[in-house]
Amino acid sequence: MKKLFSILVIAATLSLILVLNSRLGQVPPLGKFLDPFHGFWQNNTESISLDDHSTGLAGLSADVQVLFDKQGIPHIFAQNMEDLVMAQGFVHGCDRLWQMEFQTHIAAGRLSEIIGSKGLEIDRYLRRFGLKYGAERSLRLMERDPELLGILNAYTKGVNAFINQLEYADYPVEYKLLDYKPEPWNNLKTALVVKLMTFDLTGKDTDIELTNAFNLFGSDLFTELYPEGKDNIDPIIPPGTPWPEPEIDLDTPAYTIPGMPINKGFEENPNADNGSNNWAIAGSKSKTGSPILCNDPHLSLNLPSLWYQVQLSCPGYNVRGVSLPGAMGIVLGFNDSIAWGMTNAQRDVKDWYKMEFTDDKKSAYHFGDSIIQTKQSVEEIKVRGAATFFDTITYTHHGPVIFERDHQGDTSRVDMAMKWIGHDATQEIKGLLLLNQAKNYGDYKEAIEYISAPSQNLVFASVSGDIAIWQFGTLPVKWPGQGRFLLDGSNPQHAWHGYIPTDHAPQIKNPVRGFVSSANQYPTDSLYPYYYNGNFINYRNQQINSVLSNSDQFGIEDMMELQTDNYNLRTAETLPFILALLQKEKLTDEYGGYLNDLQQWDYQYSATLTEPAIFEAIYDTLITLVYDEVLKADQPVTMPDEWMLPYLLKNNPGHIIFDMAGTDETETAQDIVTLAFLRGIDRIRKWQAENKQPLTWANYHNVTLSHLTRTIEPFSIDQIQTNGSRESVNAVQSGHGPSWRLVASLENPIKAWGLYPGGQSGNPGSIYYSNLLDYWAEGKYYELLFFHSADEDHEGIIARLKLSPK
Amino acid sequence: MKLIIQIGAIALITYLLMQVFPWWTIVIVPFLVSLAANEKGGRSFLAGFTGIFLLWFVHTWVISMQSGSLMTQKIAALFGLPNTFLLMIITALIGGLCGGLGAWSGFHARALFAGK
Repeated sequence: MKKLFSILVIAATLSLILVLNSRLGQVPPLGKFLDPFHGFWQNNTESISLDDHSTGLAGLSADVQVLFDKQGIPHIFAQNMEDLVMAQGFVHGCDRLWQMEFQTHIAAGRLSEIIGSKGLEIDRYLRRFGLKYGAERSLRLMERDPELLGILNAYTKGVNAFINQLEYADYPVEYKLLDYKPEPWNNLKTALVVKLMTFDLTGKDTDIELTNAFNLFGSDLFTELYPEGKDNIDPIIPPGTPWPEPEIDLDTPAYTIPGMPINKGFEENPNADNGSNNWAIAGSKSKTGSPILCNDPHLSLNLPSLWYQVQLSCPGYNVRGVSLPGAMGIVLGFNDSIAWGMTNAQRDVKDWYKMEFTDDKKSAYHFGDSIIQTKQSVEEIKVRGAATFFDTITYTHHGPVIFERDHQGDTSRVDMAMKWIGHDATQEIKGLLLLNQAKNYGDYKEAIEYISAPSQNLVFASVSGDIAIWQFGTLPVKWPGQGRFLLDGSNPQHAWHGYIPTDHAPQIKNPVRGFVSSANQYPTDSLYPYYYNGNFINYRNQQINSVLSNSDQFGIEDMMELQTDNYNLRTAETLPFILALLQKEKLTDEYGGYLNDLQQWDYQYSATLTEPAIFEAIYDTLITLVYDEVLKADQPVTMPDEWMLPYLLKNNPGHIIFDMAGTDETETAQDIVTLAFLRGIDRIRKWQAENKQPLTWANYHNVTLSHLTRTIEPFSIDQIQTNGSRESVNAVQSGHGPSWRLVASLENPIKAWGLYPGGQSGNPGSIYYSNLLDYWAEGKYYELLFFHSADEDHEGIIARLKLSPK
Repeated sequence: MKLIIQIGAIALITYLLMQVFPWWTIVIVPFLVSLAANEKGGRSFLAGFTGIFLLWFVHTWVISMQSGSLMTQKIAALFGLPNTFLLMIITALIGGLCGGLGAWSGFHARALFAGK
């Protein structure tokens, strides 16, 4: 009996070890995780020691010096390009390893390996979408260039040098929480980082949603509500700029929009608001007489921060700006001679084709008079804690089949293949590295040739005094209307027929008006000889251009003020009509105060004001009431462009769209605006009752930097007190906004200011995780130190790291 | 006195070995110490529990002295704990429980070998 008890005690102890060494549901393995010697307690330290020190790095050919400034930003000085890139890989690894790996796992459709079956539908979707397929093709192309191959390999070596020295105690805390291990980095992951950016910026389209809108509203109403182009556009290239004769002229085929509602299946579109501002003013418009360049890309605001600041220097190469963790070089920034910035082109570079397969197995399909065989691949998706999932992907010559007729057993769907520029073999990295060392306009132009996707508006300014903007990238030639709706995959005329030559892409150098700018609007006036469509924005551009036209004496602080300008032109163009249409006699006393506030407001979206919250609650309600048909549809339908509702309120308050479905009366804009006002205020009052904080814009829209997992809430930061709105130049939204702000003065030597929301370190236990956030929220800037030698003795340098060959 | 020596030996040996070995060292060391020391069951558990509890608690305390405890605060919030001190206590308790069970198992292993 005693023996049995002894055995039980020993067995219980062994079981306890096993239990505390295993992950139970969402709970990390507690023994491992809580261990003060190896567990999360060890993540209370900095990811890179910011004391002077040195370490060996296998593969280096000579010593590399890394200077860290007060913001924890590394300035890397190497003797040659490969050493430089290897050191960049090393510091990226030190500060951002978990983020780099997590993001490339997502891109490769491997999320389920980390989070289990919750990730399966995302993995299936992204594998079909083909980020990995595109990355593999790009990598094969890049690796044929021996110089580029050397650079890719050097970066991978740098990241792996960091990974190889890690023990469990050193793992970024997310590995410990989710209980898994880092794997070796490779060149494919670097290629995936670029494709993920392409996906974020071109992955959104509305082909299916517009097709459904056409069928919902019928031809006449659709044409009215969803017109192409706009009368008062303020395009990127000033109207009247002469255009070349098109090299490719396509015959427009007879085309009928498919007359059936379509369901998609997977729901995983990138944020529709991804956009940005950039501009450059000529020396003639600045106080210093030198050009000034500004850029702020608007993207999802996450932690760890999307960008990583770094200065990269070796003989013939000295550049500073932001890099993407996982890829070498600088994406946005400046060097000794030039500065550049990007905004998204918003062009539709992704089209959908309804396929007619010959059999249920999708082994072949009709194309013109012929039958073409498909290629199929079986994707093996490993799922943590569950059986491996096998998904067959069918490839047509258009591209992979994403949505299938019988997806999830529902046979009402359509087989749809996707044509997307992200599948092309491209070498953006080579283009970026060329841009990083560009000295002048000619070099900039040469670099552009290699950057295919995502298509961007690349603004340029040089110390020598040039300013320019170019909408570059792979842009398909299309017949009018091609790719706005679902296309016919069996009709050869519906396929893509070549690309717009780079020289014919919208561009301008040193325009008469003394500035270039872009904010995701239409690139050209209607005289541009090539057809294009896309998701173009309408308000920020007008505000930027109006400010830039107003003075010839801009200082740096004026540029910062414009970048953080909170005036909302859409609201300014809408609120007066809402107030005019409002049936004030229907408002009881408790609504009167809110009305008073709105009447006196100057359309500034400041953090501490109540008016933006009141207006947005009303306007959100108004949209759902006016476009109730869209929201009630059984299929995904896109809303009309953002300017359509203000336009109708102003010009056509009796429009049938204001009549609500399912009521006996025929409502007009007056009725709907009044209803929206009452319901919007009720929303605000409900918010006030539920929240203990005062009603302010910042409290109401709650700007949040979410941790990439979206589930570990203490690693996110919410309730950030900051100004701005979606339509303001300072386009701060709840989880989205200026992910990097740069103001560069092209004096000699160049001076620059900038920051991003977050910090250099990916470690939530580091002060450098979010040390730049306060200044960002306040609209302040840090001067971007730019050194010319590792020996420089500057008060801003707080630590030096020496990396030596091993 | 003997108990205090045991507690000290467990804490010290575990501290040294944990520089190299993973967390389950806190079970193995008390097991072996208790196997070597001829001690009663209840007292062996106490030695293992106290030795590891103290070692882990002191180490979390040293870490919180040396750092800003930013990570500790976030993990405490993640676990729904009101403060970091409670997380230190929970950590030390789990460590102590492992140490105590390890030592108690050592006592019972000895009993099994001795054929009692």
